[in-house]
Amino acid sequence: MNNIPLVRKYRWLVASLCVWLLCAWVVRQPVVQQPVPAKKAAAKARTTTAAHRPVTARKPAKAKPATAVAATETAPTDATALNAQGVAVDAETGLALGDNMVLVKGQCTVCHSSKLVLQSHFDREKWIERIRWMQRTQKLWDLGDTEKPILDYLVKNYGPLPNNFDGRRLPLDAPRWHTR
Amino acid sequence: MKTNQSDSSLFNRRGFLKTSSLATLTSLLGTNIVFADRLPKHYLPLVFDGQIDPMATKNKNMVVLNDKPWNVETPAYLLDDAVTPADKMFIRNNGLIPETIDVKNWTLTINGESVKAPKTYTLADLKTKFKPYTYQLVLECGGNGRAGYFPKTSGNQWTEGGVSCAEWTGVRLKDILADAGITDTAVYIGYYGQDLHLSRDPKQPVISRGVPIAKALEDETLIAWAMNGQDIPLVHGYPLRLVIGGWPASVSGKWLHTIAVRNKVHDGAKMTGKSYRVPIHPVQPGVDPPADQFKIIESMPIKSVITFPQTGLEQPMGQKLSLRGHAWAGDRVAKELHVSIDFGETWQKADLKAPKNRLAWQHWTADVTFPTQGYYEVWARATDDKGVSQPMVMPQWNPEGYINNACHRIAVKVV
Repeated sequence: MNNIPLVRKYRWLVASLCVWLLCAWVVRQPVVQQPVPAKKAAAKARTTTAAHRPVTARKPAKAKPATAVAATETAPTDATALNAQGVAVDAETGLALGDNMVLVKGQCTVCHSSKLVLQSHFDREKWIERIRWMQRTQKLWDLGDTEKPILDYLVKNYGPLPNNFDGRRLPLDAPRWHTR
Repeated sequence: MKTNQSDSSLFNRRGFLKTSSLATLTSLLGTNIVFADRLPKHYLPLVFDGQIDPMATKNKNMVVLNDKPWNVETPAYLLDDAVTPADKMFIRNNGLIPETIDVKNWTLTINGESVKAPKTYTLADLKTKFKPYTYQLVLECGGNGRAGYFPKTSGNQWTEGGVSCAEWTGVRLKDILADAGITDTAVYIGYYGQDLHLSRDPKQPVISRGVPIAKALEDETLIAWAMNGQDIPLVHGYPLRLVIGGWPASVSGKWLHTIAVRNKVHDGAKMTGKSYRVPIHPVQPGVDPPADQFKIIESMPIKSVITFPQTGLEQPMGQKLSLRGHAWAGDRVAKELHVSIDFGETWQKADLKAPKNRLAWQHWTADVTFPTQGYYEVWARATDDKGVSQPMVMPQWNPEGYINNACHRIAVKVV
């Protein structure tokens, strides 16, 4: 009974408290920073969405550097699978799971399919050369802070194949045997 | 996806897609729109990000190397047809397939420094004012065989399926150039097509290559509108493309709208740098010289493929094995084809036929018998009319992984 006059007396304090509590709650919500330039690139970076991005959104080389993405974060709904070699991969793109996979998915599959990466086996120098070529001739933007973690991922997962090959032919892979 | 008519004529008076529009869409898509009768008024179906799915009309055992851009190869046993059908033709793209094709207003323009006067032709002009020709022509990707190079290079990792030999119908480029008139300063031609860059920037060129004027003026160099007697499939260049047999297939521009007659070596996209070039001076594997140390690939080298049986055949002891396949040699002719079941210790001559016309591939057959049960590799090796054969080992390594023409081999088990 006595509360009612008290609340009325301090209604501005109570209102301020409520606003403060609301702000405190908002600030505590997790924020995932998206890689520049694509919107929602981390979750939706697949070839099918490329059509809906306005062409003018991308500018080569002069763009502001991409903001650093939470490097080890994987969107919780991304499905995983095992590829033919038994390596755990992102089900959507086939990219090997691991640190910075999301960066590669976000930055690299905007223009071309992940299958271009899956076909590749390069050392760091050659990966850098490919990135520079794409920037010079294919309108790839400045990767900024994401370039180093992207290179780390690519070299780790798509580095040179062990090469004990002297130029003669390797044996054929075991085929699927048939009697046709 | 738009078709070849203006929007208003796609729909009938009540606002639903006309039957004819549906038919056009269906043929371009390569598959039915199942609930077509329930499409809302004035609604044009979205298709795969604006892109058709070229796999809808391909044999399901084609191997997808990349799906953006589309690069798909044909396993050797699916190359068995004498003339490659559309559903087994390999796909090679540097960019996106054009999403709007205005066939009614399609034109071919001849321009450039060395043309007497620029001239523009409609499709009807090409089809009615000039004599049409039909040739079987080998299209082979410059990177066919790249998967066999170590250390690995960049680029699509074709094994042996980046090759086709379909029957192409069109007008001779030489007849068009004679009609437009070229000056004696002409050195090269360069094509321009309607493919779209991966970035979707309409001003960014995708690919614009060419050939020296002598190659352009050969009888078999076609501006084609038909493949195997039908309209060229969209993914293979509908409604018009260049077909230049025996050279890297990247000179055979798709969705063709312009040919420039140049007074110097053409310098369009993918003509310069290291694209479709190999080092002038042979390099050690892994060594990548500067760009000015490279030369343009012209005629493809001698090559062959075993198309029957499919690798992995198990067959009973005592039965002979009938093999067959094709051989081709760029601008040259394949003269001989040999097969070996003992890793090249001994070779047996195959029956090799002449090509249907210059720059077509050649069919061969051979029967082999096996001395005892066990595992064998059957190797095929072709030799051209200058005595040049395919290597058995990895040939000269080059930084971009081109022209690997090493022998094809299949596995056989005799049980």
